[in-house]
Amino acid sequence: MSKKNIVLKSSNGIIFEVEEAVALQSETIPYMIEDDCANDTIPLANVTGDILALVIEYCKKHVVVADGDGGGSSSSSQEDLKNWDAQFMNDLDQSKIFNLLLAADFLNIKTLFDLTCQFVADTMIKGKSVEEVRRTLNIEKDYTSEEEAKARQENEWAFK
Amino acid sequence: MAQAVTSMAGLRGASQAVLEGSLQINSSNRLNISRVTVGSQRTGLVIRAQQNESVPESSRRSVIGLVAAGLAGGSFVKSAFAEALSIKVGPPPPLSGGLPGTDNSDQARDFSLALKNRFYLQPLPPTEAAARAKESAKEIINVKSLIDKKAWPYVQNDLRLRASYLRYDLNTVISAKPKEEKQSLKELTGKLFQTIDNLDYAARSKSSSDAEKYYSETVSKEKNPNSTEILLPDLVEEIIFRLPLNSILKCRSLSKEWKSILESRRFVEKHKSLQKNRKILAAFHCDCGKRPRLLPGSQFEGDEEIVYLHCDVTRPSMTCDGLVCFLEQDWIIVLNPSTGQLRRLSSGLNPNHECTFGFGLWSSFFPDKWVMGFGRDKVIGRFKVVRMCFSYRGDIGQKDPVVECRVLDVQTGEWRKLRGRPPYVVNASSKSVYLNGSIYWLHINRAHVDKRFKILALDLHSQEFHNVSIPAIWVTWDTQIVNLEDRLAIARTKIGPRRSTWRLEIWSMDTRQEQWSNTYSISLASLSFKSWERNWFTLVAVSKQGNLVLNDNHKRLFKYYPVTNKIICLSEDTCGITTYFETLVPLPIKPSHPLPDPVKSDSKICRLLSKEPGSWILKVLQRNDFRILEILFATLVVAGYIVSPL
Repeated sequence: MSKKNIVLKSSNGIIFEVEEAVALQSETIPYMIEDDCANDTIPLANVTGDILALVIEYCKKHVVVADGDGGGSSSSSQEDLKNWDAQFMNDLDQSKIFNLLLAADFLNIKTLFDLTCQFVADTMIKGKSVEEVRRTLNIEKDYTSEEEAKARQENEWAFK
Repeated sequence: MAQAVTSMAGLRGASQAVLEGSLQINSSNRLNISRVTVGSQRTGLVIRAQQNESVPESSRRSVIGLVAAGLAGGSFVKSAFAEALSIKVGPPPPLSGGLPGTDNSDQARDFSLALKNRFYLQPLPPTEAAARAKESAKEIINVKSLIDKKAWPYVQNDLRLRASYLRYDLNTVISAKPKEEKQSLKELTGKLFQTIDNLDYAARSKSSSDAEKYYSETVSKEKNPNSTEILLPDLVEEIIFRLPLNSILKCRSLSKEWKSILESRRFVEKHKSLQKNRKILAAFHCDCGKRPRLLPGSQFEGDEEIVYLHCDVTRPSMTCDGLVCFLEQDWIIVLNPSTGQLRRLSSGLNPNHECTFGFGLWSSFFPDKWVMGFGRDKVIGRFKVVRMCFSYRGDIGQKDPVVECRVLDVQTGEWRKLRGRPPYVVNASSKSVYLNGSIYWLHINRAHVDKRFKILALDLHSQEFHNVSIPAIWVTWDTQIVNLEDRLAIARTKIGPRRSTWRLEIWSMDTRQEQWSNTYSISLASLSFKSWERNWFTLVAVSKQGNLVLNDNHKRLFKYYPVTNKIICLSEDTCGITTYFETLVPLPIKPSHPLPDPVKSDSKICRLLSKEPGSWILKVLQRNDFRILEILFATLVVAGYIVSPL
């Protein structure tokens, strides 16, 4: 059985060639293959090259080997994968994370989407003060200090 | 679609190169939005009257590709106009604003529709509209290539076409949102279209620098993933749903916009629907006078997780959609146990009223002559407290009571007269149950030996009373009206002289057909009741596996397994209140009256809250130990009494 390769093209024209199993973790790509001629490159207008590289890195790591025909190198234990995921996310800066989140949403890769959402939730919001969250997420404070005090008082339970 | 393009393009004898280019772009465009029907309008062919060769303008970009080979943008525009001017007769007139190779805002689209509808933007359901809006936004971003080429008429035309879709779809999306969200969204769209208009103006005045500036502004407004702007609220919500409750509450203080989104009814409902765990809310009695609140942590009784509400259980309480309402002498307290938000509202009674509470635990209910209810107007989503008061003032032999019905809006804290009037006097002790936008009361006629009963319902939105059909059974005094998985149900405990006949029967009503059936018939023969005790049961919750959690009037918590038909006792000392789920329902801050300071005498210091947190579960357990000691002691006394005469 020959392994089929799929060519993906990022918005800035960078070409990636990946195994079909890697690309098919995205639920959007099969539609594109169906609608397009399958040999053609698949243009991904919303994903830039550096982000697509990250997505592919993730998908390669998470590709599930269909049956144990000796290719056990890519099938890691759950624990290893988790650690790898954590390391993978930790190495990214904030704008990369947001763009990765958008790409995961666009390409519809459920596990990556969950991972990035959870990472954003855990590292940028959870356990941070309101000021810190505002700074990280670049949220404009439109409260006057009085209003803010009131809003805080209303949700005081969360600040304990 | 692609086939249609092929055949039509073939007819017009276009070059293969153009065809391939257009095919690819069309399909990729359609893919971006896979679920949406936008593809049809993108690939629609426009056959226009032109002198020389007619190019199938299936895609603006494929044409630009051709044009770019020979013509500079500006001069092409001129020649395009020139072409359009030289039309003589026959073919249909040019479409207004028509430029070769562009889609036009007044061009026919949606070819599957009836002819007269093709020229209008088709309304879509909000979800599809949102997807089309995203697509339009992406198209606007693509205008960049035209700005670079300085193809101003194209910029303008494309922009207007896309903006018209965007405006239309955003309005659809926004109109489907609840009121509180509308305002902030409208402001946001306003800003977006302001920059789009500026860009349009820049295109008209052919100013590159301005166009660049407004282009980047438009795009940043559309694209910036750092804020909760209209195009990405789904993503922001996805992140927020993954946060624990206290972090979500904290996010309410980030900005007005976040607050309005996080407090919107849609968000709250969705957050609620995503919850997996079902717990049981139980009352932990304490008369320290401090505000009722949820105790941290939880405890397992059997396989049921129980969270405890620190409150005074001698106060009657009612629940609805995760909120708990307590009745005090002159106050009504509404608490959201999850967020800790609490509102203390005036009872709206004359200070000289003579209503007082009876004794008893959660079992005995409402003050003399009052009938109360707590529920939610399903249409506007507001919580309401209803009070019916039947009084016979003075005159002996007065047959009809003076009826006063009022409803309290928890949001505003205002009492109003109820529009409808109950068709008959309801028992003062009637407990109410909330279900699906209505409050239900069980009225048992005391005058009849055979215990006739009625069920009265009040629709909180229309404020009209109506009678509900009842099953053909007799009831006991202790029959309870309950909410069985959003079905109206009554729980009747039958305890007769022979233990083997003791049963708890639950009848429930099919809401659509108003037909009653005996859903559960539970034998109580295996339970160790003392025969002199008055016993009755009520339903607390239904577990995920369909098992029932029941409470009797002696604070014993039971679990019934319908599959094996077994009933077991989970706890000897728990007042179950209701199913517990975390809810973010906001309670307004303004009309609340502050709680008075708790009574400051030594005996009243709260056992649980004054000391280190976390140890309260131990105390609960200790209390059970005391109970055992109490029983042991009682046994010894009885034994001593029996033995002493000998």
